[in-house]
Amino acid sequence: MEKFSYPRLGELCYLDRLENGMTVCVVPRSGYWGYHACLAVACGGMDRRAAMPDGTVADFPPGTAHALARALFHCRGGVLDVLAALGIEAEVRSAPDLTFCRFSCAHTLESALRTLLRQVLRPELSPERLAREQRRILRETGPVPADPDQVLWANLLCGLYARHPIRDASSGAAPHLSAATPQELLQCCQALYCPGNMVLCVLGDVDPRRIFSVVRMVQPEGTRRPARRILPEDEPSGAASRFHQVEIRLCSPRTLLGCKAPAPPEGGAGLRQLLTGDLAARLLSGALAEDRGWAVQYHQYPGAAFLTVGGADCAAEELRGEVLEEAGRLMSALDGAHFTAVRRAAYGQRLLALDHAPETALHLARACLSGAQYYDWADLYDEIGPEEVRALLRAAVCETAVSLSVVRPKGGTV
Amino acid sequence: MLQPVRIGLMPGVRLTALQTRAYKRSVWSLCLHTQLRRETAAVTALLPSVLLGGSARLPDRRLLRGALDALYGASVSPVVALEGERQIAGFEAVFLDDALVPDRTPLCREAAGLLGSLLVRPATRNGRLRGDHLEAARQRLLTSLAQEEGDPVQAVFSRLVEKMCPGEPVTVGRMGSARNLEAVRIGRLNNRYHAWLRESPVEVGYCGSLSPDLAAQAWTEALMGLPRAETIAEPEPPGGKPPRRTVRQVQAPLPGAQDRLALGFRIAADPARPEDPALDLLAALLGAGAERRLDREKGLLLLQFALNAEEMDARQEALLSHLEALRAGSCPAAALESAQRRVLGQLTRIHDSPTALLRYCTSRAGALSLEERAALVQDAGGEDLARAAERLRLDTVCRFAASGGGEV
Repeated sequence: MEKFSYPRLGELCYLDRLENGMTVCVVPRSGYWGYHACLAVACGGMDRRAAMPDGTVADFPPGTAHALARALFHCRGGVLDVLAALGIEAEVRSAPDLTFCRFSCAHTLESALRTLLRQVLRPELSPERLAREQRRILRETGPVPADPDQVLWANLLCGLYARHPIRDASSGAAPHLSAATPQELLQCCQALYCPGNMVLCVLGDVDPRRIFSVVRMVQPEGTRRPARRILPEDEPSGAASRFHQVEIRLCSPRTLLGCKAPAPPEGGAGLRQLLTGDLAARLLSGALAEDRGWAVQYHQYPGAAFLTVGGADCAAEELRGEVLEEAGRLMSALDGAHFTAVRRAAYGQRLLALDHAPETALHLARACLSGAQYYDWADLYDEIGPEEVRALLRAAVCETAVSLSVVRPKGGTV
Repeated sequence: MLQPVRIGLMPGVRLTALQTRAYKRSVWSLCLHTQLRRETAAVTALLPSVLLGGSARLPDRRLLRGALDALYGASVSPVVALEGERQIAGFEAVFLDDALVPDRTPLCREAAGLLGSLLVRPATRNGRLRGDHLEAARQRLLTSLAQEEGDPVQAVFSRLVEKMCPGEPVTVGRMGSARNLEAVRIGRLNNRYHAWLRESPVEVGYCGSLSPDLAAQAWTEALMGLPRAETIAEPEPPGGKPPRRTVRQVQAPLPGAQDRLALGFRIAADPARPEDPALDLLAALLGAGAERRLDREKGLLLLQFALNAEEMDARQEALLSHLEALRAGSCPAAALESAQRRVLGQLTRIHDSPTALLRYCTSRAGALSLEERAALVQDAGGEDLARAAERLRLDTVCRFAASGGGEV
């Protein structure tokens, strides 16, 4: 168990990699009444191809991670049911890069951790059971009408990426839940739900040694080598397409602009790009959010990073023009004092956000999975200068790297 | 143990300070308490949003945002809330805690000073609050009101309260009505602002690593120039009404796809136990699987269930039998333990959020510290529940039939 101290943040972090490969991270928060835990597995919507430990390559259809999470966590007698019996309402989500289960509780932390780990590390799955669960999920999910925001988002990702599997990483919709066969779900579970692909984070007024000992007691014997995520190496730097428009049932048109940033490296450099991208979004947001009410955000996943700009009442070409113009202005004349003020606000807000323990647990877990230590952000901010932000804007906000996604009302307004 | 310290700063201005190093943020609140009245609810609700338009020194939102960014991304938001029949209006601000500011420049003076200047030295034009700030604030409040009215849970509670307490101020709502919001003109807003500032008790709050004395000093400096009337009247506590002799039954349509059963209970006053934690347990037990709202000041417990019409009789009967059993002192240990866990879970969420904690400590409920309340919840048994159940009388039952279409 290694202890890391972050005096600037008022945080201590205890990290250990168990014998079976699982990373455990404990952040003691003296004075807290609640305990917060997050188990993250590097198995998300973008996991479409993996190098298996035996040297073979396995392909999974879209939606495999979502279907697997539903079968594992939401099944009758599954993780959520068992935690509910302890009075704990847990949350399970599949993101493009990972699936996580997190919960907060006032008591019963140790039994909850044991339950969670036992169920996830030793899942009682069989093709028959998975097939049964899949049928149940499909029955319960039923036909869901297209959500305009999801359509907008999915089309934007297809517009930005030609090969990267983030193109169809948000496939939690019913048709995709049945795309994988029970055998494929089982193969994916065995390949990716390995301790070496998992991070457990615990925050609260806890004794880290006690948490490590509880976690060690429920670890299965022997080590399973996890499969390795394979991402395409030939993703072009420009956007796959310039414009994507569809018509669906909705009241008013929506537009989202994406600006494709360079693929982030792993580890600390990736965390640095995350902070740089966040600063770029804040700088762009300064003018666009204030004057137009548009929201600017930076998103980053393994092998993929992009800025999005969108909001109510924005005409597609006007949006593209204004974003390119504002980025051009920032690149040619970014005032040093303005940059320092924005960086200071970003630093403060990231520090304030640490009070949200469940979200912090997820940030810590996600950073661990990508080989970084989340709390390093405090020192990294000092190193990031305006030139680095300008370089990211130069790469991402240019004619060849932007793509527009538009959804319009089918046959006029509804 | 977190022990709130209460200090009187000037006539009618009280500080509640919580010293803790548990959080990264410090929370500062500045709220004025007034009697909820139909004729002033909307104009009072507009004031915090209008004042957030800017101060004399930072006269628009962009300049204000810039100043907050320079203070490490601080934020200020308007507060408009109800506690019984008191309307609470003001601001809540979140700053980086002084212990974590990188260059060790204390933010406390800036934090309190900024809130104080927004309240006492607002942006004006020709000596009056600005019309453009009123219009922006009006739009924000109308949007919030429409969202509240569009939320079926909130809409059902509002209608239940209207049926239970016809004509009483509590039916006015925290922001008044859309019609009243639209009717506010700048002259009236200005008059209300001056009266509100002069005549209302002010509750300021602080939660962070500073000592209560330092927080008091920062607040005292920030509120210099706050006009104070000779007498500052505390809002009257609401008059508790006796329950009806017969339960009022109401049937009404409700836009949306789901029928709802709503039950309103009156809680008889118990001066010996105004904050009886057994009431929280009772609400958790009776309201399992329901949306619930417990208003101690007004003496109301409201429950609502999303049910189909044919299930309503059985649910109501089961709930009233459950209440009778509780009155008779019968509560299975597992049910009590589960209710205790849920209530302690709520208290934990309050404790671990500095904003919620400060709100709790500055409210009437804060008369009992969170630790004391948690201990009483943990120690409560069947007798306490029976005593609390005796205080409950069913007053009104509303059956809302879903009429389809959009939500409320």
